[in-house]
Amino acid sequence: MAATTSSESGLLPKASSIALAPPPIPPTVLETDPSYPLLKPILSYLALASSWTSITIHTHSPVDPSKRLPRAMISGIPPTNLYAELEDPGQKKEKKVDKKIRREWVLPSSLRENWTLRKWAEVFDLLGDLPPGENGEGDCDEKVEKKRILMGIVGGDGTVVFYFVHDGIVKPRQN
Amino acid sequence: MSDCSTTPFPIHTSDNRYLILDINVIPILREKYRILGHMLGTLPQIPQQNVFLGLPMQLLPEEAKLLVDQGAAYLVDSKEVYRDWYKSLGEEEKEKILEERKHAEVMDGERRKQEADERKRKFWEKKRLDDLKKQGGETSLEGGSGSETPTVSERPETPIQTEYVVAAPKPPSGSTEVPNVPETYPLFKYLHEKEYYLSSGLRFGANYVAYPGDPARFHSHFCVNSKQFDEEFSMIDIVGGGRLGGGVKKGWLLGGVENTDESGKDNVRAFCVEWGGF
Repeated sequence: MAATTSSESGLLPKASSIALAPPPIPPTVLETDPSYPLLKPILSYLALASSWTSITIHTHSPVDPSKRLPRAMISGIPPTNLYAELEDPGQKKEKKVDKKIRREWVLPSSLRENWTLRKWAEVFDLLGDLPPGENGEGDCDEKVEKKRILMGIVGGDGTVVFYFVHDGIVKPRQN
Repeated sequence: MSDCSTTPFPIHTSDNRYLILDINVIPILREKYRILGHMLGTLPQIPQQNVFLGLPMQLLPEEAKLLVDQGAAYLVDSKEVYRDWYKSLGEEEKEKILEERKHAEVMDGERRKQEADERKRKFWEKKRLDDLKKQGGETSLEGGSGSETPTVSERPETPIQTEYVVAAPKPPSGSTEVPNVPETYPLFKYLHEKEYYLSSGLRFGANYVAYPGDPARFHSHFCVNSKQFDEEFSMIDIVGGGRLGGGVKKGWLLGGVENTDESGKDNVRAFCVEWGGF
């Protein structure tokens, strides 16, 4: 089973846009998974504080379902496009209209652990361009030049911070 | 030196420093080879200022290696060249150089003394005038002498004869000497091949700063840090790097050698980190 969806719980059929509880952690996530203790604070933050929707937890590679991810990952749709891509100023107006919000990958991690470049490489190698949606299909047909993930780092007091990590050289946003 | 664009040019080395002494080489380095270097030379009288720096230009060891590997430059040991040149001089020439130096020192000393005398004279002149003014309001009586401008003695126009002896570079021999470069070199080379301009990243707490074009025309895109592919770093580094980069409108680029193929070529992989924004 490659993905488990949060909507299975079906607690709030009428007010589905407002989450009152974070999505449950599916049983496919093993207790030995490094993500296991990190999922709850990250899911809470995404669902309750940041109003992400369609949150899904992945334990296997979407590209090759026989391979387990190094740790369970989350995907979801943020309320707005998080990463304003650089566009030609002239094109900006017309493009904005019907642009779907891109589904993002979230990689849970703890402030206490150490990281290496190889860990990123392993994760990226198992991911497709975009996370699969709830039905296993992409829900955004955006063209992806470089893969990206959001690194969700859980601090000691439950604070969660998010950093984009791109696989390759990506020109930074004009802040 | 119009032919320096075609022939390899010398990089003078001394004590692990890599210096360019020919001004004509510098624009070529910048335009053709995307090598920035760093100007070192300052003015002997105002050594603290660092707004106007000139020759010599110091290259990073990485830059020097890149040039040598491309066959664009060759290393010259400054010490050896100087020793050879000195040995080639006759006794008479040595005398002459010593004499010239001594002369220059004497002239310099005299010029300073004259300047000091001039300052003293001006001071006393001014004091005398002020005293006169104080003595009576009717300075107009003595207006003639008061407005008399003190005659400034002409500064002695004796240009100091300085002879710059730049050791003639020896033609590229079959020397295989290559600069010693730090472990960060593969990433430097990788980004340079991707047509980035790189300079030292010391000011931003990184190994390098990467510019998408000539730094005179572009803001930099990345703070660049190199890591071994299995080297552990703390999460706080990711937060710090991402934040620091974001604070100065840059991305934070981390990279290293993922593997080396049979031909010995390093395969570099890079990741860019930016603050998530929420």
